[in-house]
Amino acid sequence: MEVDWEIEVGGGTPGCGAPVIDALWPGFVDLRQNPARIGEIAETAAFPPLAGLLLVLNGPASPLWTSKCDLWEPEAAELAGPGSRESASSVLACYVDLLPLAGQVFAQWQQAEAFCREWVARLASDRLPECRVELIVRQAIAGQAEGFGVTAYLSATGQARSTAAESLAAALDAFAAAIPSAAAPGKAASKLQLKSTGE
Amino acid sequence: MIPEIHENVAIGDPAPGENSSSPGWFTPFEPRRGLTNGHLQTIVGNYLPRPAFRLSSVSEAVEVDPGDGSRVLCNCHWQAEAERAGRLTVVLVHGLEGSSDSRYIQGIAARAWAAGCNVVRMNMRNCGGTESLTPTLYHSGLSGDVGTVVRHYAGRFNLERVALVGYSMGGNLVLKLAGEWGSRPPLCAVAAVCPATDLAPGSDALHEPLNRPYEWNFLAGLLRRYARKAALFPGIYEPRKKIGPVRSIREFDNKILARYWGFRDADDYYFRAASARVVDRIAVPTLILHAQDDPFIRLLPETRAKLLANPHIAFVETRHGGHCAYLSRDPGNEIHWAEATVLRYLLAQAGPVHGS
Repeated sequence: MEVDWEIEVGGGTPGCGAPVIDALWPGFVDLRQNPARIGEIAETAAFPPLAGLLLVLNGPASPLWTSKCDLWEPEAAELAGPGSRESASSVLACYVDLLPLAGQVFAQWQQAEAFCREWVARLASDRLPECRVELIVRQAIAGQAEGFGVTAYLSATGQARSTAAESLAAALDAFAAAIPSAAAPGKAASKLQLKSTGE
Repeated sequence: MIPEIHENVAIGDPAPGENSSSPGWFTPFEPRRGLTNGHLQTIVGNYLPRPAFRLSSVSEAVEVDPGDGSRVLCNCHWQAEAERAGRLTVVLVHGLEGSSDSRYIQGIAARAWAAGCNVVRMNMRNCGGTESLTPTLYHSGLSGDVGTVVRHYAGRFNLERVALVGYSMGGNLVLKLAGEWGSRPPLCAVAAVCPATDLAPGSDALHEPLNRPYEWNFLAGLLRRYARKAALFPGIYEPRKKIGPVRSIREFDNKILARYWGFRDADDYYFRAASARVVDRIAVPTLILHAQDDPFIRLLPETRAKLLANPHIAFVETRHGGHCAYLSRDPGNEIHWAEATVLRYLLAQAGPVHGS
């Protein structure tokens, strides 16, 4: 499995900066409070393993909550990279916006970064060569709280959609099994990429 | 005669002016909003948080095979001694790679206890961390183990009424035992949720592309368990690495299970262990819940015909429900329709819980 993280913050001008997680967006379904509403998230019907991941991320053992997700089929070329996927003809990808339970958002980007580092370290030993996980620290707003959150992108390739889906399901399982136990503050990073435009 | 129930919709949505003939224990299954996809029901059912299980229990390793000393671990919840014998005793049997602590087992155990029943949460051989209690592996044909547990507790406490409940593979075991026993007190009722009655098509269904994630999970558990058995009993089992690649449940059954249990091959095992062969001989009230959108349980037409022809069997086939999920529109913990239905059925068949 390829795993990586980065920080993508900056701009501050709506529409021309890096994406901002608006956690309590109009379609928000609070799975922490009512996990049985999982069926209202349409993406889970298209890819049921995503439901399992969302329930684990919002479950009693997780230090996180989720605000938004999506599922799509990128072009294989979009995911070309090392080790790759040149022979793959199908790709399936999803993302999930993640925030810490404590404080609703990460107060400092360093906290989010430390959390991502730990998650990446836990995932690095997984043998899923056709899968990729990328964690991106972003600015986040949750009601009155402003700070940082993490968007997790997970993708998998296969010779057909069904095999890509099998691999993505395995990646989701591995991702859920590797959730760090606490969203604790950590040491600052050396990998900050300040983006002022939507490049 | 027990009413035959087939097709949930006919029961739950009678034509105008028509009275439903549903028995009192039955309520139609209406899937939770958005959960009309069998895979989604199955996965959500597996991960949906449940109330913490707080019942205290007494654990005992019951010998099921004096020949090799095999024992199975049972977690028991006994009502007060003075009334124990007269209470309905419910023996719960989990599914493949589950245990007595599987969430659905805990869920129905809590309900049965609250209704006044004695409850025995039985682990199959090796399950629940009990690999050291038996030199053997476990498989879908070991209905005798369930029977031994029933006899053990019925004899010790003079239990008047015992009911069996099995999920998936456990469903096959309790149906197989019921067919083998016919009418034999104190067995008074049986319930099977999504039972794997036809093992060969079920095993092959697990290898279908959409079902591979389930197969991987089962297979990973089975292979880890085999590795532990090989470490515990090196004189019996070859090291895992000498077995070679095992990429499917059928391959596991061919390479490992058939070899160490003396079946000719996986198909021989599937045939001999399937309750489908004996369901026509079931002679106690039996409830079978089967969802048409179960991702990997397959019911052969001839088995369905046997189930429908047996007047002792109430066969409830719903359109939705997934595999052992049955997440309904009911609020709170009542979302678990199968557990509520099974318990109502058992209580209706067994008579008053406070039997003495």
